Amino acid sequence: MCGKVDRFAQGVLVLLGLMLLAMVALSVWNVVSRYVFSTSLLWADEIAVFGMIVMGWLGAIVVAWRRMDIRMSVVSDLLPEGAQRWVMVAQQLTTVILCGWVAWLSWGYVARLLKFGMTSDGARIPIWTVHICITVSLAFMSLIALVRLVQTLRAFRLSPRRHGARGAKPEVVK
Amino acid sequence: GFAADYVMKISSPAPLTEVDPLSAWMTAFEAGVEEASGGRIDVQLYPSSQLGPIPATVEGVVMGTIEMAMPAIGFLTGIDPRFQVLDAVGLFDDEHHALKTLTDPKVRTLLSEFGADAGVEPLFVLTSGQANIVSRKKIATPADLQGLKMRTGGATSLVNEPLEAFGVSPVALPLGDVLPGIQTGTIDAATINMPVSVGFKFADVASESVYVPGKFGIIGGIVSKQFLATVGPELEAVIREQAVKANDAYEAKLDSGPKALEGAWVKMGGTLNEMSAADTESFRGGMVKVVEEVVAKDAQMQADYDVLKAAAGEH
Amino acid sequence: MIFALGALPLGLLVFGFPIFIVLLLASTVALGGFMSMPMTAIHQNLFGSLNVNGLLAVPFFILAGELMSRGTVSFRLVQFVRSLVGGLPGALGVTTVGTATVFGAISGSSAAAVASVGKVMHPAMTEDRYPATFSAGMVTSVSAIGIIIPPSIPMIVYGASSETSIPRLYAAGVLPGLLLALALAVYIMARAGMDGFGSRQRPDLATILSATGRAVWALGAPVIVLGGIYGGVFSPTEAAAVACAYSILVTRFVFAELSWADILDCAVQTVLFTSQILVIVAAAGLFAWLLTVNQVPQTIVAWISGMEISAWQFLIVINLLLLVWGCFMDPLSAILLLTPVLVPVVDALDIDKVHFGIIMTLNLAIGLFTPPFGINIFVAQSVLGMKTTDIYRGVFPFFAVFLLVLVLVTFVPAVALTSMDLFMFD
Ligand code: NA
Ligand code: NA
Repeated sequence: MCGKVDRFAQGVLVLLGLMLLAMVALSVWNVVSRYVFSTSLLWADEIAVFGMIVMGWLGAIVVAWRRMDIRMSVVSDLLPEGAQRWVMVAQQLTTVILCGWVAWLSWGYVARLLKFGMTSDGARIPIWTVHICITVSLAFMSLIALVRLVQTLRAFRLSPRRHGARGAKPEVVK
Repeated sequence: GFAADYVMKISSPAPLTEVDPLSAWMTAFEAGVEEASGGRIDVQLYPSSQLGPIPATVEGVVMGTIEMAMPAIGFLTGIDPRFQVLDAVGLFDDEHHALKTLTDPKVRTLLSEFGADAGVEPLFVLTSGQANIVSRKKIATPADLQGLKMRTGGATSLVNEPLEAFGVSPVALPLGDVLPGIQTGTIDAATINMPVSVGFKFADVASESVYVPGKFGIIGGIVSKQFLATVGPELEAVIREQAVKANDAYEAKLDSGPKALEGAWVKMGGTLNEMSAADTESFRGGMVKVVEEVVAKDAQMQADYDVLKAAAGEH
Repeated sequence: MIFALGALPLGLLVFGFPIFIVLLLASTVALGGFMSMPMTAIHQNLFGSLNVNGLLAVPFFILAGELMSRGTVSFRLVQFVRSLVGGLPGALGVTTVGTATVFGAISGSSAAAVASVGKVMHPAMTEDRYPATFSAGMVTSVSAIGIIIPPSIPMIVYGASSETSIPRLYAAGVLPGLLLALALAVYIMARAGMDGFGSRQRPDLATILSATGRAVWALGAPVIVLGGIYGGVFSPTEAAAVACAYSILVTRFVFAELSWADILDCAVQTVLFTSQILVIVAAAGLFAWLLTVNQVPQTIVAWISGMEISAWQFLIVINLLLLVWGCFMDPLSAILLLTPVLVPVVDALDIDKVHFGIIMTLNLAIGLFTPPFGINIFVAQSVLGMKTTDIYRGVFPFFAVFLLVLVLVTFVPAVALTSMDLFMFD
């Protein structure tokens, strides 16, 4: 299953990468057209910013899946491995609940935007289409943490020396 | 304070100053509501975009996280395109005329419908000074506009087409980039207003300024209907009464405010150019002609425009 | 409330929770548990803090850096600078400072500078036997020069909310920025000389000429970007996009060293880096908003102005406040929050607002690389793949150098004010 998810994640990244290149092209085109044709696309900046928001949030799903999220590891590195495992459980449980709940709240927000029919000021696109990437991103973060949590707890049971035993290596999922 | 039952956070992109009429409105409204509600409503003023960028604060009012926001009308077209019509050049002769027109009962009724679908309503619509163009090169006749790359401050046809008719190429730039943009020549000129011209000290790089006849900055003070319902009918009435009352404080600064700004502008090395009466007339007339063509393309906008124009004619 | 906005985040942070989760959790607990505010504020701020034009330069400059370091563009630039300063002790370190300064003149964003300078210089320094923590600390901190040397996004925001002339602020930033660069270069030379790391090569005309010849196309990048901004062809944000387009042109067609697939791969890497950083910016924006609506800045400033102190005592207190504040918040949010409450006090004490703007920017520039929430640290961690603790240790001596310059700029107003008079063209 992980292989399939990895390929899917890579696919998402490639799409977002293409989008980034398109954003570069749009900005450069705006400079050129201002100088050559004396006109500029008044909505270009807005679209590029929306592109960045979509890219940031959807990219964050892959970041979470690949365990690339930025964190400080001052104290946790010093803990014995058994205790590290408990910290991991706490982190994953927190992420499942927090991101799941905020995704739910975020969905409520998007639904209201949809209901009010709010559009962007420049390009006049329905604004919920950009906002929903936050909902999707948080929902996936919650889901990924849930998968990890199940795996961590399973590793607990399989480990010969039970919870918190020194020397029991936390399973590396990937 | 902590004893208040309700907090009313008011967000404004502009700084709070002694001379500015809208600042006077805000402080009068704060004091008025806090007193008349017996301290049950704590009004908190957040000038200078402290509560975030303008689009976020507009969304905040719609979603109920901020009780009131005071953006330029262009930022409200996303929640209701009907707000656009207020950008029509030539509706008002000066700010007193604008105040009389915008507080006319027929116009108030019309405006109170704006934003209804998004659950907001404008507690007031007021001007924030006459629009002016700042540039490096002197602009004293409409012909001087030919070929200028100009930050117009909006993306709608109603904002841009009247200026395009005089040979302007509109450019979209965030307000913060405007001054460096003129300094380096990315743009030649910008339509802004005197508070911004003086506040950002535009005279350092673009010392030429000229008023745009018949064009005013329009601010919509939107409140969430949900908030008005939450505080109950008695406090809602207090809010509405105090909003009207605060107009007096606003009006009291309507002459001294712009005068003080003009003085400050000249003192910091700026020049205020005046167009001849004939040029003013042809500039304003030319823009109004385009405005009416744009308005005619949209039945709703035409209907709203007619109400505004009729009321403006009566005052 | 103090628990939710103070103790809780610090506790989670040291236990290695992702920064994004820490900020989001603290804000959610504060909102849900201690405030009568709709929970919709969470989504609204997660979106709104990214819906900012100036942030666009971040992915664009990271992509430009990625493209230049994947091909040989960056290498050629480094060789060129090295051929000039190679005779000095710590030549590569001095090159890093020089590159960061040039980058600072191109961009208003420090995070992008860490990514591109770090990507090129850190491997080069490691190869040249620089201690890894030292060179990591260097690239993390020196890129903060970028927001003091114009153009600078924080200065635009300060100018707007304090009603100070932005060109004057820009002009006033030049000398303090160069002074910083000089102080850092001197420190690096001293360290390299004492600890004996890094190679030296006596500059000779033949090497300089051949390095210049090989770097002509590479030198086009800063020339086009700087010329474009100061010649009025494009805005600083557009400049970042133009830098990307130029890098694609040179690496794909002139040097023919990258395929289209390589270019796409650079874009994909950029998406990953950018995402890591943007979600933190989003959550930090939410956190900052909560501090504002709880009127935290107002309370602190009311307390300070109640102490009835003189101008220079005020500056000491403010420097301490800003240094601590900068550890927890990005410069943009900090300036937005603090400027409106501080400026009345500054006016009352008759302190020059341009001078104060430079002090504020310098303080918050330091906050970019001080733990726990220094965005440069996160970028360096992501780009260099090093442990946070090692980066902290590396940053410390550079922090001391910045502090020295800060004290000088604060108590010798002439530095900023002379700079303003010298560089105010027009
Ligand atoms: Na109050
Ligand atoms: Na800069």
